[in-house]
Amino acid sequence: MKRTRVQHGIYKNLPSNAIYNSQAANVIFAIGIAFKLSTAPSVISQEYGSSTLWVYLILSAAELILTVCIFAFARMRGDGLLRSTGSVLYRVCCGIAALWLTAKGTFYFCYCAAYLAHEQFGGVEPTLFYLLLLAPIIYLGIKGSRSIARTGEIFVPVFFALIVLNLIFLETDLDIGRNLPVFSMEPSSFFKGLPKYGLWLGDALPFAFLRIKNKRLPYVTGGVAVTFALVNIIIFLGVSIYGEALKTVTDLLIRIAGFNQLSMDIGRMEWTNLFAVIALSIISLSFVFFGCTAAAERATGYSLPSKIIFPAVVAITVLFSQSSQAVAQFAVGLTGYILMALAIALPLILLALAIYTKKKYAGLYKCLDAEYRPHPPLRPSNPYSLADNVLAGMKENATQTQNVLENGSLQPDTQENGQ
Amino acid sequence: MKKLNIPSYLARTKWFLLLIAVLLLIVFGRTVNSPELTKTAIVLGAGLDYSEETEEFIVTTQSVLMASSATEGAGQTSYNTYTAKGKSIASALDDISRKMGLIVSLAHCNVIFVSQSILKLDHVQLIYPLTGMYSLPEHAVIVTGEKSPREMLAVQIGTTVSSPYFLQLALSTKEGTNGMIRTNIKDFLARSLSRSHATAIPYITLKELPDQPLGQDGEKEDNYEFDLSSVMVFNREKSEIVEDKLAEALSLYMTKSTFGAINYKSENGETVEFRILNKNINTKAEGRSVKAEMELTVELLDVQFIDTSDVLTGADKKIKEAAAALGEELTGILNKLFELSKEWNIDFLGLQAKAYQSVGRTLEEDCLKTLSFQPTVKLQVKETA
Repeated sequence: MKRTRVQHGIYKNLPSNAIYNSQAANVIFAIGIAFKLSTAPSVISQEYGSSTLWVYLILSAAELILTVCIFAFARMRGDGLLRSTGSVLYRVCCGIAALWLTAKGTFYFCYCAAYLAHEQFGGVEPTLFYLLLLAPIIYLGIKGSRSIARTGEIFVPVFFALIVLNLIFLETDLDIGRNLPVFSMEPSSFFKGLPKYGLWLGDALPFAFLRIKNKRLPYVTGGVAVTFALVNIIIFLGVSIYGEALKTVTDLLIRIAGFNQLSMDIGRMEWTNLFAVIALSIISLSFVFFGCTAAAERATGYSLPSKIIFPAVVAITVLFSQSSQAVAQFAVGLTGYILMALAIALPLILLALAIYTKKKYAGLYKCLDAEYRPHPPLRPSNPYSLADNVLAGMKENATQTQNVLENGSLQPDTQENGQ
Repeated sequence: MKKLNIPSYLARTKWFLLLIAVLLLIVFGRTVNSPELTKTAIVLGAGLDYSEETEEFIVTTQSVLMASSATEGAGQTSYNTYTAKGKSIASALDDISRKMGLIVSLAHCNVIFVSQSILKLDHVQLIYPLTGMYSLPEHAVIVTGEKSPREMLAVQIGTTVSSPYFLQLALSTKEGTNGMIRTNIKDFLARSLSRSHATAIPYITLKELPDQPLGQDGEKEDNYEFDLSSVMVFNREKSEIVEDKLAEALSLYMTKSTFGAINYKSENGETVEFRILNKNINTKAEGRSVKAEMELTVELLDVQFIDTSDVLTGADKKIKEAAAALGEELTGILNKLFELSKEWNIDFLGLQAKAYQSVGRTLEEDCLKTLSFQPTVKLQVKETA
């Protein structure tokens, strides 16, 4: 597909559901850091111990393949193609994706809320805390992809700098050997247990419903590379610092900031990454919410029901379940296997379907998005008054007469007019 | 006339967002009792003890209280030590809160005194609630001693009235030498949950100051000094005390940062004192054989009882010989520590954890006696002007 380059500062001219690749890179960073570095290390470490890093590397490789599939689908305008052909399978997939994203959003919110409400804001009434956290997520999710992307564009670079600075100033006793042995259990048990953590896969799926506009640099590739590298570096450091005690660390990203060497001089530094975790969680959860509404719209033709159902499910689950920790634990049981299966199946099916439809409806694909292609530039011609006050039907004759008078032929002077 | 789409207009306007934020903040502010700083007791140090007879936790806290500017004696600081018993640490801390009339906050607590009886309990259950619910910093140091945590917290040190404050400063500025070891909460838990299941923490002995400090009202009584030159090595089952040269070598081996001086005394009584500038330790396991190479970069500090009229520097042969001899002496002490760890069956050198990294999951639990340990210590004397 031919890539069209666009200049900065023309956001309002973007079609709806279109974001720039630089904005997409910021959102990738937000979802990568918020979801994969908060509670997941402790949950995975409880079972895998010294193998946690290797589990992360395997999950990262799987996530990378799924992300490539999703972006290939978005780049080939699979969403527009499948919507224009009215594919039934696509509608079914979108329906499943909407339900899957609702489940993901609920579990992620429970992990985030359980940690923040019980450990960071222990004295605060959990109900109010949940509602306070949910409000910006709903607002951003309803506002849509462009608002999420622009919010990410503003906040993500700041938090990226904070996280990297915390790593630069990290000072504590660590032993990189704690990442060994690779298999802390039998390899068969090792691989059998992996799908339980399917919740943390396929976070990039909402990008399938977006159009990615390119700026000059390969921001998406860079964003994916930086995010995946940073996540695995922090996990590597986390295991090196804590070893088997990583299971007691409820939020690795926040705790790791506590070992900032500046904390000896200016006090505790966990708040730096606490801000990052809260803001990135809001951006990421609102992106999941947006994905759910977009998927529901493609499945049913309406987005309004999902805009009500998603927040309602999340709110009801955290407010009326026995504990948000119990809901979070539920996500790594049998549910994890289902979530993993869907996380892998959905991007692959969507991509395969888009490729098949592209071949089948090659003509339709060519004129897809024709309204967004630039028109040939209009060149103004010199005004002349000869044919003024002449009826339209007689205008051609008048023009021919003029041509004969000026050029000696019926053809206009091509050199002068440049035609 | 164009019909105004109110929901869409509201969603677009920043005023709507601002209104929601203001409403939420008002509701939040009026309904939530957030802890105020003036109602919070900032704990500097906490003591954890456990009575096996009554199966109760005895928790002691030392808090710093600043007199309010509105009251008489503004700016005066007082250190208050409170003790409470409970079936859990949380209930004892709750009791202290009631006694003080303030909310206890461990967010700035940098020292935890523990008794030997409490170290026999589950270490995760001991630490996890403190770092989780009470926000205890993970870089808080953990110490034990011959007296109970309550007594050690209440004691008055000559240089400061707060023993936790003294320990925090002493352990951070003199770590690694004279047997002074700094084990923080994170390292305690990481080593305790490793394959070695053992660690080492400072063992404090109290001595009354021979010369009490003098104040405007004459001599101040009951001032003590902490002796930090001993180390307690332990696992869940047992504990032992390591002292003198053994403690010094152990602190050199275990601590990350090393400050201060080390001393060499020859058979003839010649004494050479070196200041440690840098330490580099590399521990590797090949199967069940663990090798530790320690390189100390030192500078000459002081020389006594050497019969020479020359000014000795780090370049002199005698000093280099002394450094090499000290290296061999430390190697021998580390070997002796290994023999002791096997004898006591307390893997405080962390050898099983290292062997596990090499052998893998097939390494059986409690295999210290099947391991070998080869330490080498080298001193490099940096020449100074």
